[in-house]
Amino acid sequence: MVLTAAERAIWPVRDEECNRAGRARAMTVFTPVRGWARLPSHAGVEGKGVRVPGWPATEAVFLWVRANRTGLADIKKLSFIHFARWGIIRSIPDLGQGAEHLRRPLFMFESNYNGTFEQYIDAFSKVIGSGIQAFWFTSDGFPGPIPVQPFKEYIRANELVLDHYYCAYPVESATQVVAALELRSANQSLLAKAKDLDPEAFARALDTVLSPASPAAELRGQDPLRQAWNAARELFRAAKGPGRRSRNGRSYYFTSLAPVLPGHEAELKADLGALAAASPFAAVPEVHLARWLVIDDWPDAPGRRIKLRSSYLLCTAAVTAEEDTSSDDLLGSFLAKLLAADGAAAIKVWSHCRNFPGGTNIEAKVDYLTSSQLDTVLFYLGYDATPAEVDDAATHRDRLHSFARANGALDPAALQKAYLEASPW
Amino acid sequence: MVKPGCPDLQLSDIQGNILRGYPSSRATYIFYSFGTPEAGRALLGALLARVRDATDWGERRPATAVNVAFTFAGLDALDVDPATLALLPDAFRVPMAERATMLDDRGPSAPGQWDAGLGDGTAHLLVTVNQTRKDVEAFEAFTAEVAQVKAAATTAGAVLRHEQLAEALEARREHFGWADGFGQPAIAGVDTDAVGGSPQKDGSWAFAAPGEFVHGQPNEDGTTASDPTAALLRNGTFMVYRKLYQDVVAFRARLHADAVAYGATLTDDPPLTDDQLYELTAAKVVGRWRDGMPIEDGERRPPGEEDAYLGSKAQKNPSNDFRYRGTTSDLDGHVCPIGAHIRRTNPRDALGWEGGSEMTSTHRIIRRGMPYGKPFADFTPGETDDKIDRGLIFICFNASIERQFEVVQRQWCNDGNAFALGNQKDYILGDRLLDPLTGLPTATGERDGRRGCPDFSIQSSGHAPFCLDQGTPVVMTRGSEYLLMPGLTVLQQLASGRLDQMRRGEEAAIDEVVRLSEVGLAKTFPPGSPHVTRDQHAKAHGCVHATFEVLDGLPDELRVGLFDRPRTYDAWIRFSSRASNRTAASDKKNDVHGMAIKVLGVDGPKILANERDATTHDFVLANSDTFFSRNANEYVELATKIARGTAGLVLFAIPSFDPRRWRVRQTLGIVRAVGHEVSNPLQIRYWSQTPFALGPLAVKYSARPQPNGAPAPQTGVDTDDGLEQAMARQLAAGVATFDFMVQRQTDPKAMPVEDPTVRWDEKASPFVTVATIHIPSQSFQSPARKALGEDLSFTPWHALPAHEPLGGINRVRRSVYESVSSTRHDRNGVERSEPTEFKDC
Repeated sequence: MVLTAAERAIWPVRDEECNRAGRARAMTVFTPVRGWARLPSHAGVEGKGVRVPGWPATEAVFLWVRANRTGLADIKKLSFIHFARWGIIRSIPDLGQGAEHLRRPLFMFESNYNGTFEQYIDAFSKVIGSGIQAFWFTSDGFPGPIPVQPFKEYIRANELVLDHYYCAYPVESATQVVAALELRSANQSLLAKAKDLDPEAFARALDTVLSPASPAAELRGQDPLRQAWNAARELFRAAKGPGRRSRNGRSYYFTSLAPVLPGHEAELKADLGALAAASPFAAVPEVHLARWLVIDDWPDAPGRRIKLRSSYLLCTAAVTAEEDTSSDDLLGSFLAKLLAADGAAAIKVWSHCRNFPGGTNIEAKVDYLTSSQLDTVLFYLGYDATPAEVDDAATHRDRLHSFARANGALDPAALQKAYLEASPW
Repeated sequence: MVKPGCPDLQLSDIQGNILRGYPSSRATYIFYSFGTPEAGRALLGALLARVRDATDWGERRPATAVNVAFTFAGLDALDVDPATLALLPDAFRVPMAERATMLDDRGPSAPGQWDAGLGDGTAHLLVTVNQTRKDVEAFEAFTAEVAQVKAAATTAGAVLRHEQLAEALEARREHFGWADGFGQPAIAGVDTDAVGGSPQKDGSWAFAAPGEFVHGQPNEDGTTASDPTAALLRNGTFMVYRKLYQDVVAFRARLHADAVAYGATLTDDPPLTDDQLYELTAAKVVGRWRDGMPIEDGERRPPGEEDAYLGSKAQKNPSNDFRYRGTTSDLDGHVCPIGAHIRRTNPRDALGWEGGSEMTSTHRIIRRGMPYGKPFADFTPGETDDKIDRGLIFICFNASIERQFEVVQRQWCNDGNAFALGNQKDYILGDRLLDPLTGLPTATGERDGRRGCPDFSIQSSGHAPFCLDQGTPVVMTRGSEYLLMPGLTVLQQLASGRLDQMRRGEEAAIDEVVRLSEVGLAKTFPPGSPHVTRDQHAKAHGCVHATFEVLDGLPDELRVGLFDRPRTYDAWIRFSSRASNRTAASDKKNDVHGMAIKVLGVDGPKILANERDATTHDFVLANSDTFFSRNANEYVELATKIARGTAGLVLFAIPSFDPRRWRVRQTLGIVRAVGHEVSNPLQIRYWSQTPFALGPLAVKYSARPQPNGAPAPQTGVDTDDGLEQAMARQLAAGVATFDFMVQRQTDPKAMPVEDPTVRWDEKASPFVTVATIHIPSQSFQSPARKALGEDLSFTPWHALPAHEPLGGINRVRRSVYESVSSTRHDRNGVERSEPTEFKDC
């Protein structure tokens, strides 16, 4: 598969500008799922002719991953991803455009990552190639993770360009966030006992906080019987829609696909473009990362013939609540804040969609967006913290390092005194 | 990772200095632009003979070496096919100034500060002249070589855009004082020891794949590119040229201040002297002591011995055998800081996945830099700048600029995130005053990383990392260019303006043809077969001695290569049938007939690198004027389908219901080729079918028999060796004579180069006789003569460069020839060599 000159020409722009918010980069990939897919040769089944039904096979793979967290530790260790989400779209809710039941379901992947596309894909294909194989083997035209060049071209060809991308903390990478959260928690436990330590012990403890050792290699492998049991339990775990399985701990990955009013596509794109840095998501403290994207023209990638009734506005947002609230409350409060606080901008965006309720009734709008949600098959969390906690940890880290730098020459007793005086951090 | 074994590097087609560095003491880099494609070709043509390849120099090392590379603007100005150019990588295509922001070439390094002629899109061609010996004559030769290059440029009308002289400093140091240039990847097929290649989980090293540095070779993913750019990139590499100014005074002052502060935290007993501290801090920020010894090999050195390594045996065999995990277990940077220069630029196993090289093996570069400007005097505190322009001409070679150089520069040097160092940048190269997001200078409020500070941090066991004060930048970019350093064949083609227009997937198709013919050969001749013949044209009717007389009075444009002056050559001519198994074939069956001419005693270098000094020139002809497949892909399809018999042939002819896809010409070509009834191979006409260069022209060849007596009607023969007998009868009593003719391409559309199924109209461009072939009366049926006919290898690629075979089918023939001929001779135990002079047997 070779891209046309025109496709190549927009790459640098895509890579550098459109899909970027500070350190964060966005990837949004839709691939059609085959009716029947051949099992990858190293899936443990010998004989190349073994074919399995498309989407049920992929559902099974993700069920297993959800149940046993297989491979997720590796993704965490790679430390490139803030949040990622996988979904299988078999139908799109009817919001006036008529319900869509896709003959060939769409496999959807979106990621919020750091680094460059080249590095990201290189690392993934080399390190967790078998995971990629398992996730995408039912996708039409998927060339396999290795060699990496055809895989990169496959992703490029199926990737969409965003119209709006927001990150609450654009200067922080996933690696930095994880480290800052660890540092903060280590410092908080030191703070709790700092008063009672003798100065020498305190100085040693502070040094330990400031120079964490590299994490030791994790133990791998689980009892296969246990894993099978986990998978069976997962199979019968109730999940109700819309937006099934979009919840992970305190966090929620909101994914909405709303039909755009015919003829409104260009205007909607212009409105999104005009938002630029002034994102309506900034008014919602629970939002880490969010994107808006008008899907009016599917990429003309080889092997895909996606025809839908309508153009759609895709909105996704990774949100984390302060406390352990119910999914409904979490989602409702996020949407209400998005639409209410300085809501004119967000409402203006969705007013280009079919049947989006007008007037001042926020609840009706929240209901509309709630019902426009898509199901998730896997929601990967790079870290479990609210944006406020992330920001606090980063501030904490910066202050602690400035403190260490300024007071590094003090003797332990003076250092302890200065440390206690400088708190709370 | 490359398995042991020697990859097939075509060193004579790869420019020198890429895979193995020149022992260069001086180099001049001259950037030219040219106004027209013709001027560019003229300049390249004038330089071609000087360009040094990568073959061994042997006993006597030459004094100088010339190499050339093109910018994207240069390829564009040469009129290379825009569709091909559009597929070249973005990094190479976009103007350098656009790339500058991504590379942190901002603020004091911004393109506005660059030297004229660099990175502004004006330069087309870079000529590099290296002085490769140190003696006085070598310097004179260097000066003369530079003058000759400039004279050639003036003659061609090229404009000089930028010129830079670089000279090695004493002990191969760079201006900040480090011995430089020996930490290079170990490459399969080039280096003998894998140390410094890719670290493996078991503690060993693997060679880096040559395809990471030279196109057309397998890379770390085990693949070679086969898109339409492959022909242009073959045996070439991308080159990064950066002029980096080094502010020696500022660097020394900064390092000195940092050393004093860092020293205050150390508890050595006895305390380190100021000099020791300065050297230790220097070793910490770079990861090597100034004499090149890795700090992993020792964190403390006796006073006065910091340079012990320099010039020693160890430096000649540079210490690359160290890692950051494993035995030293320095993952936390307690010996070599995590952000040290050499640990960033080549993280070895530190960034690996459990000690492997998954995250690093595709991000390696070969560096061939050289300092410029006079060295600064020894360090004295409080010294002032002498305002002399000095620094490094940074040069690196890589197959992908985006994946290799730019990852090292952007992700590893100008950012710390990959190493969990937050926003920290390289102590030497990084401009930490630039905001990582906006690129604008920052004042305060940097966000730090896990190990903590915005500046360089030195990790130590049990202590918080010590932060140096990185301050203002000390290395500033003064110019930058991305270039393509093509292979020598491609240079020739660029000079003649006839770059192969490779079809998509052609390389893969060629590989498949080679595989099919090897499979075919192995099937026809299972192991133990007494004699392995050709897979094509195996049945010989006779190998005859002849003379090839180039005629006098040819038109000027045809007086090229072999035809440049009237002369008579000896020649062997082998008449044959296509049948792939000579014993099974009968002359009673119709077949394709061939006439392969080997002209002997032809002087001048030949096209094939392995047979450059051969004195033969081959013409390979058949008794039909068109070929039966348009290109490699179609050839593969035909070969696969024909194995299924007539039904396969029908499938080939009518591959779909769409009449536009029916292969009428090809099918007619097959029918015509085998449809001839032949009773005497000496009395039929032959054609080359595919086109060839004749200097700047494209031509097809043909050989037409002169009527020697009454021509016999061609009605076939009735014995299995009837054709051989017919030849024997004619040559027993008389002679045979052929007119050897060329037909010029006059209309590129109606007479395509890339589609040999199209007949070039003889009315539009008639054949012109350029030579006469005389076959004297002889007896050719002796066993010795038959053996000779078997051992000769014929290929259109046995040719002078002026007669280069053109088009996809000829490219297939090149690969097939090289594979089949060597297999055949290996298995027959006969050394493959071209006859040097005529010697009858």
